[in-house]
Amino acid sequence: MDQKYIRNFSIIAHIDHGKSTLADRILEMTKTVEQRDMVSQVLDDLDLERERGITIKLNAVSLTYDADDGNSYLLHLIDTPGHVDFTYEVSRSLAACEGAVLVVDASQGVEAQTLANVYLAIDNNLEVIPVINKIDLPGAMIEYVKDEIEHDIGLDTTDCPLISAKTGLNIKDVLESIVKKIPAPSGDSKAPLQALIFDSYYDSYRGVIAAVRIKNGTLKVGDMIKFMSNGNSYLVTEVGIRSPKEINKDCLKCGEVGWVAASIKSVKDVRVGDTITTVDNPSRNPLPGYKKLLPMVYCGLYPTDNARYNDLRDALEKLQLNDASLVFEAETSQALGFGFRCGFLGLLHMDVVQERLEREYNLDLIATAPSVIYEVELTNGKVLKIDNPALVPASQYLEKISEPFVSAKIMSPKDYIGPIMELCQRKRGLYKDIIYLDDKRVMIIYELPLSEIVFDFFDRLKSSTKGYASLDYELIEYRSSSLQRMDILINGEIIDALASIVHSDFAYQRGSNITRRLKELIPSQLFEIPIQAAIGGRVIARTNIKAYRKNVLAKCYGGDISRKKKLLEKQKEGKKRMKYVGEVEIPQEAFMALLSMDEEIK
Amino acid sequence: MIKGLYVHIPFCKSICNYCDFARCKYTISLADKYLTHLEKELSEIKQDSFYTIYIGGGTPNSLNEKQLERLLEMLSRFKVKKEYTIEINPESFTKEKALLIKKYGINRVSIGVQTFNESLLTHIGRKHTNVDVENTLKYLDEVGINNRSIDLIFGFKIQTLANVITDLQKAVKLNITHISIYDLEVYPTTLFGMQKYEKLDEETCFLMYQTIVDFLNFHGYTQYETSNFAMDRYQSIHNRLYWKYEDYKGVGLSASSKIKNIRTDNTSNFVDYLNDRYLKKTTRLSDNDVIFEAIMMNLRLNEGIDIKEFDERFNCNILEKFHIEIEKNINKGLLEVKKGYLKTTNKGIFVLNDILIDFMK
Repeated sequence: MDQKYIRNFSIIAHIDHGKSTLADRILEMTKTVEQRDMVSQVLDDLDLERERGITIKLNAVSLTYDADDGNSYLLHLIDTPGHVDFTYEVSRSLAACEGAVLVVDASQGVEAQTLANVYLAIDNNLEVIPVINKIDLPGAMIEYVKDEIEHDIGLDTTDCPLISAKTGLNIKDVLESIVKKIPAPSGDSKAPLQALIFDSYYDSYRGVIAAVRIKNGTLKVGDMIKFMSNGNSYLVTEVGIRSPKEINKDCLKCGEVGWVAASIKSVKDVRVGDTITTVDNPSRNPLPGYKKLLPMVYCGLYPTDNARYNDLRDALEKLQLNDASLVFEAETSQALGFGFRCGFLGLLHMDVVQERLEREYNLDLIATAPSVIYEVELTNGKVLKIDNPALVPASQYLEKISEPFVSAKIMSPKDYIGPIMELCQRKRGLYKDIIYLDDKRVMIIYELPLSEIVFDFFDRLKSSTKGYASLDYELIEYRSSSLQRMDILINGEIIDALASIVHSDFAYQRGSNITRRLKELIPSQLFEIPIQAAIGGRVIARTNIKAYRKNVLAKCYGGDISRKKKLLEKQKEGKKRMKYVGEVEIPQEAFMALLSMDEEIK
Repeated sequence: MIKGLYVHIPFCKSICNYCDFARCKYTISLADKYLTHLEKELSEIKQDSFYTIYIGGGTPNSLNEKQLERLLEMLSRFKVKKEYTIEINPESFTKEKALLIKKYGINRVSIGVQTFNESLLTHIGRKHTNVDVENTLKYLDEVGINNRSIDLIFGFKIQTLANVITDLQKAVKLNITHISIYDLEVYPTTLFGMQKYEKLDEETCFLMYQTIVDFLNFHGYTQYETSNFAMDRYQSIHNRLYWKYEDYKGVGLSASSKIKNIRTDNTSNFVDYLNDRYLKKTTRLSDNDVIFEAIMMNLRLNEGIDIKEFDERFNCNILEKFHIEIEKNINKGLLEVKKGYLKTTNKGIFVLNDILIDFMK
């Protein structure tokens, strides 16, 4: 197909504003998927995605559209994930497009996540087409939302399609706008090959499959290709498109979007954002924007039942096949037994992995609170990198501790400047700059310790800005801080899995917050349980869980036996989710209590 | 042979706020129909005598005299060897009904008093007064039924420890021979449950319970089960059958039976019952079910499990089969082995659920 009849686009939307539903309708309208084959929301492959309404794996679909101008167009719909952890992936999949359809819910209006992704799209020079969805709802405020789009985002809404993705109303308008407004891809088909990798997944028969956008040149079966970031080369065995099922082709031409298989063994070798070129006629430069992603957040994952350690390892290995950013290594904890220290891109990534392990592999897990990597300099001059707070040596051996700092860009309507700055200040942030993007929006720049962000920063940012602020951060450097290890003792025993690194200015406050939180989370038991927070052997906060005295059924006669037995079974089930530490039963949630240690006292 | 027979009469003049038994509002015609079907169900029983019969509810004495007589008449074909109990509520008890039950050989009554505090009675939706209780006792005196139990409840949010003690003092003064006293349990299907009624806090209930045990012991009532106290020979023989995990037959709406390793549960659906679809469920209990249930019931008794008898009846040496669990709970000070019995300690009795969970396999 002639390059001028190709259109590459993404759909951007806030959760629940109807991105997946619109994608479904587009697939139906273009006969890509017959209605009878339609599983609701075809693009979201994983169950988990469908359930949480978020898209984790990227996906691209090719479709053919016969436009009103009498021409037939090849459209590539590239799906994007939607969370701060995956900002880089989003930006790479946007970089594979020339345009984006922005879906706004007619009853909700423009929301924070919409803004963040629109800016990413604009950053990537994309033509953004606003679409107002759910106009059939009684609460639809079309004029108001148009106004918002014009003023808050700065997009023209003159011929903005007004649609209902659910009922299929005016979907054709969207397709016409895509064809008319989004430019055709501009690359040079004669130039050396430059293919942008924007996703990859593992296939047990063919190895890693890379999703690519051909920016220049052509990619053919039989080509020897080279990955420009690491120089590895492979022979192309298959190329093709998805519609949404895989369709093999002989080649992918300039401007097209498709997939390539080349007997690549590990997803680690296929980095999102990397450029593929040919060995014979290599491109001189890679495409801009490649970054190597490193795990930023670590936590311990342990099976509640120690016997399932090997199952957990198998499951992690399987997940890793498709998730190059997941890393793990074995570790042991006195409190939790054998498990793994796992590294993630961010908190959502961590949640998603954990949920997949529990759901797809049927594991009961205990997760420790997330941690960053600390650089610890010992008095003997040795420098250690430590991703588990429990392993930070006692203070007499420490010269200094350094922690990663990030530059955080927070974009928000200007009404929330106050709460945002207050939050950053409380999280040990260093004010850098505030930029007025226009008369409504600002970008606030702070340098923040990453450890503060991995705790509850994002949730707090969202709640103090009614969800409008967006956050983007990148690592800048390690800085030494006045940090110490805080231990938690339950019933007199140090619980290694509850150790944390705290700044001395906040130690007392956090110590008392976490002990109080643990008191709420740990059920009272037959004896009184002291809970203490200690630094260097000195107790800084303490509380007691009172013993309970009574757990007996008042009545149990002949007719009650089955019912009361069920009650006992339920109590027993509850205990299964507990971990015994010495004599004390500790529920899973308690190991996440550190997350709430920065709560204000109510 | 099956030792006990339970007969359920589901009718009540009014429904109490905390009650989750199978019960419904009394009407003459409904009760007539019910008795007809109950008679059918009873006719299927092959046995002609029981150690004990227990007529419970609901409120058996919500039946009018004619109906009560009809019920007693149909039960009269069973010889009762030891104890014949009827549950009564003070508000619908009369001299005539007292004469009737005496005539048919009933030798024990269990009275639904709940509390002697009249404002508390209103709070929980009871319709009787203390005068009704006094009259009930007077009628029983007159016909010579001296084996009397009362039910009491504690844990209502407006109740104080002093209220509970006043109730107990009153019971002692009235020469009640047996007291069942229950910590309030709020079930979702009751009015309290629907109102999300908040009972007294755990700490206070525990204090009340301890005080009750001490008070009653001091006044000559022996605690023989978690919630049951009796003067010398007045323990409930019928209820002990349940706790000893003996066989019993239950008839009527929602009644259960356990005969050897088979449990049957009758329907709780009135319409089904009146169409002779009595049975809802039959469960075959595995050896392990039987052993667990026997432990669960036996340990409610203060005397505990007769180790030798348990071995003979269930072919299970409990000290061997559960040695880890037993040792753990002995170390925690919750169980003890004494004179051939495995029993809860004074501490263990309050946390029986924790102990039982360990025995659950």
